[in-house]
Amino acid sequence: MMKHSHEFRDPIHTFISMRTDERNIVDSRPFQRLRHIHQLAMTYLVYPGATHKRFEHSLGVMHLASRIFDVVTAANNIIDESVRRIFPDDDTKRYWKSVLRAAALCHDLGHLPFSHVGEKNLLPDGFDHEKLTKDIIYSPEMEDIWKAMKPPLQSDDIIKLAVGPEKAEPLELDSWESILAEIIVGDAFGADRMDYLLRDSFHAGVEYGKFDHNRLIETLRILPSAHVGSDEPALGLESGGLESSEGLMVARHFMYQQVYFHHIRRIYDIHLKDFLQSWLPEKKFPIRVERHLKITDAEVLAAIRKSYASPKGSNYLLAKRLECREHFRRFYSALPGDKQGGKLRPGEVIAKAAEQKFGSDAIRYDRVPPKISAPNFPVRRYDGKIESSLKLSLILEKLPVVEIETVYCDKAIFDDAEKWRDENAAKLLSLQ
Amino acid sequence: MERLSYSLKCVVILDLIKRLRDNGSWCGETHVQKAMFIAQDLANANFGYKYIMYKHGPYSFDLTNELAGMRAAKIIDFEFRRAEYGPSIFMTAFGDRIYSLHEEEIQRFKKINGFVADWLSASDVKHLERLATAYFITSKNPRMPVLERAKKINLLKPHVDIISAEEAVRTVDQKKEEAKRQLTIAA
Repeated sequence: MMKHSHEFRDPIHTFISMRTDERNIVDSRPFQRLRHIHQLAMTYLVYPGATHKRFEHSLGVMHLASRIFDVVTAANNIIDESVRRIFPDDDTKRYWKSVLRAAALCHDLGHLPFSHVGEKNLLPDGFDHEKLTKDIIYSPEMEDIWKAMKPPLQSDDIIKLAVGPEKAEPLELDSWESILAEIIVGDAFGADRMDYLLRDSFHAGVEYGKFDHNRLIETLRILPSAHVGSDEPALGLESGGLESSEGLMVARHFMYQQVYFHHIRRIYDIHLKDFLQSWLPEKKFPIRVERHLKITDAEVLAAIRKSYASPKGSNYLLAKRLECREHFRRFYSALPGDKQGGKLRPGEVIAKAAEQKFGSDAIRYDRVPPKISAPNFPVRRYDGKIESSLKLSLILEKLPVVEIETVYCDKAIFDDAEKWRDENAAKLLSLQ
Repeated sequence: MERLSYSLKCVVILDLIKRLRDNGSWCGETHVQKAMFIAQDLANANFGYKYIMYKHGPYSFDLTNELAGMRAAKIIDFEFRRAEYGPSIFMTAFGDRIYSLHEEEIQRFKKINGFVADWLSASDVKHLERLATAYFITSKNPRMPVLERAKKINLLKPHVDIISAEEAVRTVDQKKEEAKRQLTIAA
């Protein structure tokens, strides 16, 4: 007898189940390609265990998004009339659950080799991985899968939830769709974030990314935004889940500091980007779906190996940096006090002056722009009143924003660069 | 379209916060978001804040992150002024210093910020989200009749009824005309 349900074993969620029509998504070429895209680029050069791929992460996001959907749409969890008003009937609800699961599976299909490394510089203006994700979801191969699903799914609906309101343009999301998108890509409780923190932490071998995600999911609710004085429904939680949401935000903060923005991990991103810029035809990644599907980390790694084997080739030195751990060294990292002279991007000031002194080939500047540390979401207190998460939780309110500015130099000039920094930084930043 | 440096963008935001608060606004993030949306449109300048229809109307993820960065740099901070609401935003002493350093360079925006603050400061979030959503829909569909725009608002934001949406659309039409007269004469 044919099986209608299938299971994947997973180190984070134990078992992940799906229907046969959903397995057609997993078996498609765009999804199978994710087996060859490292989740964390070359982080494995710093944390050797971090070799996991976007494939298993996407399965995990589907699993978590589905669990969140079941909790927040359970009849006994909908208390407020303003929230009930936006709820569709049962058939429509089933349709949207199917859309949500498909969107969660597809949310990373457009990723370039080594994930985020080349996104800013190696794609034409106006392109990013979300745009490629949209193009893949609209492709004839995937449209055939959407049509064959029961019930058939609209690609526009999948796109709205897979890339979220910011990237779905020109599509516009109503209140219901915005909440479903938030279940996948939301800043506060998105399944994407929950899965990557747990998974990256597990593979990198660090404890920082762990938090009580089971408790968090069970306490999620759709609530009116009374915490900001609006009736608009939004994703929030019962006050009993506040500690687990604090756990998630603190986990994210530590993972940023220890893994994602680790200075050596970041310089390898820059060296890899330098290599790709030189190696890629026309210095850009292809944007047509068919060509995009043909290039993965495997092709790039083979090219790096080949370039390193040809000492007379134009890419030899760039490949050698990656192959032989000859990365640039950090000689300046911005501290909060460095802005006191009124220079709001001190790293940029130092990098420009260092380039004049040592030449632009010997200097690299890296900036991670600040991201909101703890979102303001509605929390239902024990007495039924809704309040702001930032008001109820001192931890969320005080969580620092991560903003990173680092300047690196070629290993050969490291001592000179440090000496130059000690003599000039304070003056350049108007701190004297 | 004019492009602004990072420092000048910060100072324009500080000026808007200052004016909203001087006019008695609660000045939470929603207020700053919606006020900046309209100010950016009226200024026809590239602040780099892309707005989409999201939380309580037009919303910019870029601006949320910018405010987070300004808070991290201690240019602005949060305070809780009333029990039931989330945080209000205020300018710190360091923010005041940055503001004084560049105040002269943002003369053009002061008039626009003043107009927006005078218009929106007295609004609570419910009113603000109706006005800002109406402004967003009107900017995208300038020739659409009032009722059609109101229906569109109700479709995207079902918690806003059509009568309130219609009223918001009419106010926006009137204020856009007013802005054209006042701000063109000023320029």
